[in-house]
Amino acid sequence: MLLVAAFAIATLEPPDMPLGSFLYSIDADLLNLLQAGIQRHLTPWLWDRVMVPVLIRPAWLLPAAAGLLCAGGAATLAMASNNPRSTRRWRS
Amino acid sequence: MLIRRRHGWEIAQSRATPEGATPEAAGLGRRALLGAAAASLIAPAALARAAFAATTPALPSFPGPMSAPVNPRFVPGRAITPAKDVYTYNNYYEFGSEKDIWEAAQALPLKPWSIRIDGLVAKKQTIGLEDLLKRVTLEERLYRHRCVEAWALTIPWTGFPLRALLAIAEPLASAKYVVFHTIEDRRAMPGLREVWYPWPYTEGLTIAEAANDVAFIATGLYGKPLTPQNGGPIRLVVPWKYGFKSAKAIVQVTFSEKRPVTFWEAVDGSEYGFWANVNPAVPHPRWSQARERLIGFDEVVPTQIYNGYGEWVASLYTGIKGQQLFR
Repeated sequence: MLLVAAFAIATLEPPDMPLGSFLYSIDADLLNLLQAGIQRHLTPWLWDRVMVPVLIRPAWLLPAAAGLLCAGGAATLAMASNNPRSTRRWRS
Repeated sequence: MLIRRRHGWEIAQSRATPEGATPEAAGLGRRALLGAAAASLIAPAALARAAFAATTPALPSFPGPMSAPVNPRFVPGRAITPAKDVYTYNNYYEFGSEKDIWEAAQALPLKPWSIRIDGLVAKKQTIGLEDLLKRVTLEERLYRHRCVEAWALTIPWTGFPLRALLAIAEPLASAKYVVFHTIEDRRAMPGLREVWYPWPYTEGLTIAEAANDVAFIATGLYGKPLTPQNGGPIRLVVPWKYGFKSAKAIVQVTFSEKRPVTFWEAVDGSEYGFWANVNPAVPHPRWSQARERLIGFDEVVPTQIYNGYGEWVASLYTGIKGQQLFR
């Protein structure tokens, strides 16, 4: 799903459109609320050093990265369930 | 026996409204004061300065390089906010949405500074700030400032009536709005990295609002040049509206026939509209506007319609129907 979303965003929107601009186009007030909440009630550092660097990256990048991570995790789990639980048992 | 104990934030009545503060008390008629104000627009600067000084009673003004005679027509009716609070409690999204942006704002270079005047004017021009200040008469005004977030300050601004800037700009008859643009300095303003916002910060007034007696251009506060975090070196002050209408660090003034879409109106027009006049009876969608917290004092007071400037500005809106005037 995340990879499909990333592909859809990259196809339908300008490829270099920042994530923040994409979210702003969906709900203009969302980021304002989020920014005020984080900077005023948590710490400005979190917004400036974590959120903004993510939000200025291309919009497709975050869902693509999250999708790849999920796909990798799912593949690892699937391999683990198909393989014998432990090879050590047979060796010992 | 009633013993009246003053709170720490209270000032003596004599200081808030000293003897001679009102034109009548000073032996002046309303016409004389208006005449002096009109003279300040059309006469050479030195003559106007002398006329204003002659009609200004001895209200204490804040000493400093930007010190100017206090305009006695605008009595705030409450104590001036301590300077340290005004200098350190700021809303300025170009530097961040938290309140303590004052240190970050020092990165904004204030010199040299010029203002572009364009749009529907007789002659487009760019004026250096120092040249502009030579063409106007500076005065000090003690204004209440009401933020849309339900906090308030009382500030001694130094500057000149916005009407004087209109006289310099000479807008054409077709101009209906005046639009103010804030500087967009990406090196000094980290908030501009948030590219999704509709930078530069833009605000607007109708020509009638801009020509009103209360509309003011500030270039100083507490007798000193306007600091970067407070909108220096030059900003708009329209105290009957919520604070976000008072654009900071102005670099361009455009006269337009079409109503501009202002910065916060673009972000969320249902909460922060074009008119944004203060009204305690019209709540913000997420909080009440009935009361306001006085920054620097441990006090919450009732909010007044038009922030108490109704006698000057209420008539501007009598014919306007079907618009969200108070948000």
